[in-house]
Amino acid sequence: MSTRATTGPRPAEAARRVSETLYEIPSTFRADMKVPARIYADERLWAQISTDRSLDQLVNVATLPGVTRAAYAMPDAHEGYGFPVGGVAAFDAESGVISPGGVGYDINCGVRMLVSGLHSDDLGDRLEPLVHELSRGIPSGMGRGSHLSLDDAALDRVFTEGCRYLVERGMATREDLEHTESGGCLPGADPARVSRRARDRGRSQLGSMGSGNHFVEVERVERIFDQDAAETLGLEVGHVVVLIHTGSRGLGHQVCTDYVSGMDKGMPEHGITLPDRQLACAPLQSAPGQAYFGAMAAAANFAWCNRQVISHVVRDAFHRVVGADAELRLLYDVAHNIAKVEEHDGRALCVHRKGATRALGPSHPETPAAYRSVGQPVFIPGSMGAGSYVLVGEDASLERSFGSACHGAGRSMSRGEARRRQHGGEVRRALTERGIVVRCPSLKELAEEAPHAYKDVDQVVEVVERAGLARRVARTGVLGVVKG
Amino acid sequence: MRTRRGARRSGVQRVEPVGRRVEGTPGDRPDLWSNRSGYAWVDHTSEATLRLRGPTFAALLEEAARAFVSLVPGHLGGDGPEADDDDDAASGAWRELTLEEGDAASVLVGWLNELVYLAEVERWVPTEVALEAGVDEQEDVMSTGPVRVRARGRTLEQPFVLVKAATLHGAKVRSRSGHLEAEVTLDI
Repeated sequence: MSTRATTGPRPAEAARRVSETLYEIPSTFRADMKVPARIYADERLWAQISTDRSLDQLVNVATLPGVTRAAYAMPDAHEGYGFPVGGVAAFDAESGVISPGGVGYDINCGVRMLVSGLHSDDLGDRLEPLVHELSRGIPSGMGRGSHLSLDDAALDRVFTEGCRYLVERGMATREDLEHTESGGCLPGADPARVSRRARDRGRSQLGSMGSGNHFVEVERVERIFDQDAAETLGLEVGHVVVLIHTGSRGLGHQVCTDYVSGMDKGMPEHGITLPDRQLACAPLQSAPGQAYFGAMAAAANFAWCNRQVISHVVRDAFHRVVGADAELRLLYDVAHNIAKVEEHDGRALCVHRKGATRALGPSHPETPAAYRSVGQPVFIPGSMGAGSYVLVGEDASLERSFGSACHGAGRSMSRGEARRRQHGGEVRRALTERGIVVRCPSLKELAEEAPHAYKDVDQVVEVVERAGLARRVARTGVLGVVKG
Repeated sequence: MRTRRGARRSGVQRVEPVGRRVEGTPGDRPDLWSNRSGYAWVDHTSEATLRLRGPTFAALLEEAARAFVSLVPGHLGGDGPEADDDDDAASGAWRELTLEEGDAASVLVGWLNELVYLAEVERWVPTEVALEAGVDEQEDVMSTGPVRVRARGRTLEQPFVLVKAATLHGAKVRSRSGHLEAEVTLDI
């Protein structure tokens, strides 16, 4: 088996502080590193990030064939499997690799925000019925599937057309597509590369949230940091917004399982030696590399459709509970587990973002036309009940992180430790006492997602801004939570 | 749910979890881990790491199944809807499951991924497991071809989707003091 044990000094001991928000582990730290590892953090976040195996995992990423410039960790980084969560790495599209573990099991897990013209004061006592309707309409939790079930022909259209297919089905608008990363359809999807098992797992899950840290939150804009940008994004203090966080469900999980297993067996053939088997990879231009890319793109398109179908359900719930004139406009939808071929440093690179969000500045051609004056919207949700940030990408992020920012607050402790510190009932009570309406099928899940299990989102976002990756536009507070 | 500890019948192992969970790891609870099979969950910042111990590779597969079933709501450690507790459902027909050949760690990961798929798509979890063929315990637990496992189990009321996958990250099986120990990280 082509793996190598890691021994010797810890990466944190070799790191140097480059600036107030950037640490670097030089490529000389380990003989197999091809590029340095760079971590965006201030002193406090650095202390948290360097306590688990995040840095070891980032160093491992820096050894992969074709990796270029640096392996990056965002300020919310924490230990994952293979790649750290909050990891970004780019590989030469001609000579480099693609790694399913660098995308993760929940392919195109992501976040979208819907913006209403409704002031939270006008919601009044309709909040509770609204959250109740959302929990009824959006299958969540460990066992609930979707109300939709797709045959193979419909699944193939989801894979190849993404959200365009849902325009035809009356569940999406043209404006939704314009405000979704990649128009809600990643090119290159190949349905033939999606296994029967993956289809079986995803067939009845379109429009469902799943479990873990996935959620739908009803929020209220509480603070504006940049008035001009807020106006461009259509955000006003007091207005109700909805944040949706989920991904490709079992379909994406199975695609990753299939290709990690296959590529693990193919390592000797490609002559690749890995420090961690979960980093199994193949040259992007090889047959297995192309097959994975085709399957991953199909799963990514399934995920965009999943969030779009949920949006359709949310809009319907607003119409029924709030009123027929309650409109919800899609502000933006961003992926945070994906691999995309992008142009950086004058060449094509396969950029892996694992728990990291694309954060393009105003000048980038892929920033939606409506946001060219401010930059691509970026969403950074805090822990449950903590509220979220809306930011916009900075042009400088291209040089600093391949145009990436972080995807959340980032866990700071294990689920077990979170459960030991606070019972789910106490978490529910604390949220309820703050006036937050909570719908969650499991007290255990509530305990595992308790606020103390995450880093301080305010601090994480401050580092993102100071590092020049994205800048703050608005902060939201939570009114209601539907947990997976 | 019926429970039998250490039950052996023609190599068939019951995998129901009651009384088999070992709190702590082999390192910090040697009193509990010595001379017995078991499993333990080890803290991981975002996922769940599973440690297993058993005298044979077949026992590791059994413990892995037992640990997996313990995550299902209504079973040990769960707090959600109950599984179907009907005895007829618990004693369903035997089925043969085939795992791809590979080294011991990848077979173990493959076994857990098989359970992930069956629990999600077929709402099925095992209650009894027997390793039929494909593993040579004398050859460092390397599989000698596709690994065949015979199992029967029960049907859940709802698909179980908590576990996304078993990963190869840090996956290992090693021999220690006459027993086998294994570690697998699950994405949850």
